[in-house]
Amino acid sequence: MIRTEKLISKMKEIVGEAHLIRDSDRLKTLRIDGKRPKVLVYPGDTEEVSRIVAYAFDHTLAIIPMGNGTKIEVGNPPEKVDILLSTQRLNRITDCDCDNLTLTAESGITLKEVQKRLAQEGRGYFIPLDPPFTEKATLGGIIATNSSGPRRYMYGTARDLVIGMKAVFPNGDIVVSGGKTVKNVSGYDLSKLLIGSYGTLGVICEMTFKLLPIPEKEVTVLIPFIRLEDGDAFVQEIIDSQLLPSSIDTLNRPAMERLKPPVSLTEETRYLVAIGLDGVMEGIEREISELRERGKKYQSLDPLILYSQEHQSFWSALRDFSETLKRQRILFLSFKSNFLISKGGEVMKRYEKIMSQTGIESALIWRSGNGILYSYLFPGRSLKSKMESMIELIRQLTSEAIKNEGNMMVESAPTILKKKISVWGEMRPEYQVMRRLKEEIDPRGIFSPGRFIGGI
Amino acid sequence: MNRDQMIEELSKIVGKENVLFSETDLLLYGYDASLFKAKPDCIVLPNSTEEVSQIVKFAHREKIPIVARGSGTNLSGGTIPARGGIVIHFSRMNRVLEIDIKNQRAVVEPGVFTLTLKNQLARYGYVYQPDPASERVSTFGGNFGENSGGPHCLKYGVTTNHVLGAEIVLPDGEIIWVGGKALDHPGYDLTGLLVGSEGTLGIATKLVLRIVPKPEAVKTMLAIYNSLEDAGRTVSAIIAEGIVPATLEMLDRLTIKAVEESIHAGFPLDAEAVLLIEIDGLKDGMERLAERIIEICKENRAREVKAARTEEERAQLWAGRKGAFGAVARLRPNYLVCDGTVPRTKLPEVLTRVMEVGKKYNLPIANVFHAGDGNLHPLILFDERNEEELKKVHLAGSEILKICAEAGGTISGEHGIGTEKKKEMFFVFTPKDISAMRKVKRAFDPEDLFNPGKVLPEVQT
Amino acid sequence: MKKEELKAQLYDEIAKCNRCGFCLAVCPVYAAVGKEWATPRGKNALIRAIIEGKIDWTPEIEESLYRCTGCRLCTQTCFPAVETNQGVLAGRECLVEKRLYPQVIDRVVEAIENNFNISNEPNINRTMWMETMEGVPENRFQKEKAEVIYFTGCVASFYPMAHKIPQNLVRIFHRAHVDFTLLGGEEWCCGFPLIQAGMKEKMKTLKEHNEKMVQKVGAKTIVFACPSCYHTWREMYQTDAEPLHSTQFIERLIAEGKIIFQDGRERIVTYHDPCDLGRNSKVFDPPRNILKKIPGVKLVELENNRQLSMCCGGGGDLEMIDPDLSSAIAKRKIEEIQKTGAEEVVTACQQCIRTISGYARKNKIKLKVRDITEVVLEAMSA
Ligand SMILES: Cc1cc2nc3c(=O)[nH]c(=O)nc-3n(C[C@H](O)[C@H](O)[C@H](O)COP(=O)(O)OP(=O)(O)OC[C@H]3O[C@@H](n4cnc5c(N)ncnc54)[C@H](O)[C@@H]3O)c2cc1C
Repeated sequence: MIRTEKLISKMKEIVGEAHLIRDSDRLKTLRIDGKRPKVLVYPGDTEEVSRIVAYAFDHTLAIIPMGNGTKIEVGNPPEKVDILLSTQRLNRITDCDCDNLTLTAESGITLKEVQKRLAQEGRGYFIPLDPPFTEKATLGGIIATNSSGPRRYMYGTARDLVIGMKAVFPNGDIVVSGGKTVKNVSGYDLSKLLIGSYGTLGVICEMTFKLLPIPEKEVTVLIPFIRLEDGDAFVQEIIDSQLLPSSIDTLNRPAMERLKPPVSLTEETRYLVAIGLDGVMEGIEREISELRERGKKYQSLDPLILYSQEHQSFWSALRDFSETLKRQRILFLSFKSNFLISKGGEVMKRYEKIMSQTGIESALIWRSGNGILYSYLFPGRSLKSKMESMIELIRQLTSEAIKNEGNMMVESAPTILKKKISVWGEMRPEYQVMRRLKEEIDPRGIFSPGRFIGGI
Repeated sequence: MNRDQMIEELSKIVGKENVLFSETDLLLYGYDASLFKAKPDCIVLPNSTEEVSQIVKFAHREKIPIVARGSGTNLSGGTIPARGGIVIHFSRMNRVLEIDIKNQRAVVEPGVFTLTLKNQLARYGYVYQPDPASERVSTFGGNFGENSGGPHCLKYGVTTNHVLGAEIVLPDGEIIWVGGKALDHPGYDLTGLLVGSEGTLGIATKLVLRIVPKPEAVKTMLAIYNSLEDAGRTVSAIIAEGIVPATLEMLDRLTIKAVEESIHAGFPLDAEAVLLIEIDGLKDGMERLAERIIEICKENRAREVKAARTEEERAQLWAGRKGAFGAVARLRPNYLVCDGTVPRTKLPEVLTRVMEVGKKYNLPIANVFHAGDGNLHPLILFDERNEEELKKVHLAGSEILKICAEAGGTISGEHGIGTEKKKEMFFVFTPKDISAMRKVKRAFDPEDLFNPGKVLPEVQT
Repeated sequence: MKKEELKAQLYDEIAKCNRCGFCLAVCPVYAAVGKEWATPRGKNALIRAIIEGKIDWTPEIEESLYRCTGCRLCTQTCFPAVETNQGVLAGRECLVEKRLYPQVIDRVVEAIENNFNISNEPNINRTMWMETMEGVPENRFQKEKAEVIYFTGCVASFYPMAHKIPQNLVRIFHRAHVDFTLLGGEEWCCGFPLIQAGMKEKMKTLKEHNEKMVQKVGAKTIVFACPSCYHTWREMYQTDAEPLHSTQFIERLIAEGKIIFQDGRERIVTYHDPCDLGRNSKVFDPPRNILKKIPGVKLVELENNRQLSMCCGGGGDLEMIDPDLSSAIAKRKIEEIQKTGAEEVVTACQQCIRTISGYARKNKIKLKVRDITEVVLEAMSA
């Protein structure tokens, strides 16, 4: 207890009374897999983050960085949580250099706010990232979890878009890598290491992104199919073509129903291929007609075209699929599988089969151009009784992905289940290097202990 | 361990004919395309991952440094065996293992020349986007080591954006896979960390590359200027307009002269600068975009903008660009290329300052560079045989990097730090940044056996 | 040659090499060997190190410098156009001075010194290729005065495998009513093998003799079917006669209406540019123009053609010095030929034919390799 008191008084000294929460009822709502932090701090700048971390380092206190908490549940249950460090007050845009097509901002600002600002600059710009939790996701959270969305097909992911980073390392050092040049090979690319590190290597405080101008025009083409094989063959043809869609997602019927697209789909539609088109007027017109034609070759039903508002809301609903479920307080499990691009149709089919055998409804969203499949399972209320079959199901789905040169991670699941499975999928030999990196950078294991792959 | 024993042990692994150790060979593996030289203890040419692993295990046991080498065309002393040891030359491991069109991946051994794969892909209508000017001889191992860029990286990203996985031999000889054909493997992005690590963390023995269908249409234009700054301003203006062409390359007067003496690329000899602008993608709307670009060029006082009319004309222009470094040796025997990179808004200002450095040291400077990326390549021309001049060149080079750093840029955009720019690392990093990087090095290579003495300067702790 | 001379002649040239390595991608020796000593860059570096006194002549340098086909593709693709082959040849001269050179060379040198040709035959047998030929005139194609001299070259004269070339060429001349003569026993080796061996100074007597003989005949033109003789003549000899390669001469005969082609068989043919004819003497079009004139022939180009043509492996004495390396290079050439889908490869050099068809025969690869003279004669008589 004395330790906790000391911790709190030190934190007060660093961030000020107003910027920390120690009230146990409040902290209870912030439990991570049942573990309650001793204090929640809101540092106001990188310097403060550094001091907090240095203190934690000196006293070997566990620290978990957090943005708006939209993905805080991802990962193994933490071994320990002493300090929950919120980046919410690190919310400044520090350098908006649209003429250079770069933006630097702190980690606590939401992507949405940044996009809003960028849209107002000059001819209108954006960071080409469209991860889930459109409203709440912070830049830091997005980058720390390597979160991405449908448009990654054209624009890539954080590893392609983040060119510089400032982070506080576990010993309290403020470390900079990269910068605001679009090319940079000076020193090791530490940004890559921190992207997707889930708070296990330090606190990401500031990032620099590449920007693009807002496309002249954006449209969605929804192409319905009765058979998955047809949808798959169609998708593979598009990928192999010279057309340049920004996103290609394929949804199964349950996903469609929950998503409630702004247009009505016919009864017979079992699969929906949604293609986003960004670009110039002339190109988009032609792409629409080509997609229509090529769809016909594979027995597609009549395509639907979504413009402006409809287009926007379709994709945000798709991105925010899990957020909506959460808001509706629907119990679900979600997995992210990766595999060879060309095997998507097969994997999706196998997944449907495996899941239907357990009699549980499942919604599937297949990022078809990237070889990624998001599965959502709705086990109903009696999860406890189904525990064994869930574990078996996860095992089967994982091995299916591995068979196709991928893996599967469990993105959200109840703590009791997480404790019994390997949240991060099957470990590969490269894990040894990850472990060594963790030990070198965080020798006392204070950052998000136990949460990451293999208990890193 | 004495050298004879070392040679004997290595011969057991790769065969006698694949171990080189004569004085002559030590000299031949002591240079690369930079101005640095050193001497290895011996050179081995493995034929398989297994052999590489055994070589490394042996070296690890005996604490002998190892330097991986592709074609030795890097410009930063990256393959100079700074502390002696074994050079692993990958010329035997030069097979394209797989072209997997369905999954849009190619798997290659590290010794494959970049262009060799591209030529093979052409048959399928596919491309591997990164295109270092040295692509016809640079190897994928070297591209991986340096995170190489090239003209088309403006739009498509550099090597790191196209290497999705690799088979790696670690400093203890262990073989692992990082990443793979599929995206988003759980865990830290080791692939991202390894690309650009200059052979100091791991040796790639296989690489998985992203390949994509070649763009439907391309249009190449040449904008001609009477002033270098106007060309620089045009680049800033195009980017500020939000246009990201496929390429945006600049050549100045001196370079043009040298190139035209080598081959007839079609650059006008009386121009102060030209921009080589290429756009690609869907054919629809391309004309409109080209017109807008031409307008911007004109607004920034381009004398003339020409479009390549045929594939031959286009190829000629590119041949000129790609051979530009070599060509300047017609003016003075040697060049030092500075790889400083700046925010694109700073180009005109930095270019002017760079030319002032040339004047200050009385050294001619030719410019040919990836302007759209803000990646300068001032070529300081001199004669290596003149020691006084060589000293001045190093000073001038360092000063140019300082200018880039001060303009909010960095000291290397694509050529790497190597032995050459270690000191200058402090222009952009603090000792804390460096010690964070050192931790990464220790995690991979605690005994400092892979390409020791590169990238990271010493810091007092 | 002494080091000082090497420095005076080549230091500035070699200093232009910035080790950019572009030559690695095209050098046929490096492609086969895969070691830095095989690269043009490496050869430049060695010469430079010698000049700068950083290294002394070693057997490894000998190995390196004597493994170059002289194809000069490196220089062709080098932006500062560093003349690596000049360095290599000068280096060989120094090595000879140090008595560091492949022993096989002595055999050839001895032959040339004794017989004035590269074979073991006395030079009087220069016309032995006529033995298997019908209708040889009494004067054995030799007269005192003629418009044209046909310089046969050692290989075509003495090696049965190449006898077809002079046989065909004299028939062509005969049918086109060309006033020509051979030098017979008075034709001496042109000196090319000596230059390659690094013993340039030894060719002095040969050159003087040949020049005198040509002068004596008073010919306006001297024709070579061997690209290396032709190249050497152009570079080293001074006479009033205009040196022409057989393809250039034949092209003229066609233009003058003296050669007329009958119908030929429909076929796809590819053409290999011999290095000494194409890149090194800039004769690219005449052979192509001839082939295009032949009815039925469809000419497809090799992937690397004209200035960028890949060596067959037989250049620069390499076949004699290192036959295995030579055939490793030939292998790549044959792969390139096969890629074209042509049923027949035509070239204009006895050495190229020898290396390519030699490799094909040994490895049981079905490939028709023909000299252009044979193709021309066949089309004339069809
Ligand atoms: C004329 C000229 C033009 C150039 N143009 C460009 C350009 O446009 N863009 C650009 O980016 N660069 C350019 N370069 C630089 C150079 O060509 C590149 O860095 C190239 O990628 C190096 O390839 P290489 O095979 O020669 O590698 P090397 O020089 O042999 O090695 C480079 C680095 O990679 C490491 N390495 C090699 N193989 C492996 C392996 N298997 N595993 C791990 N590490 C390895 C080495 O240790 C070394 O640190 C140019 C160079 C020249 C001379």
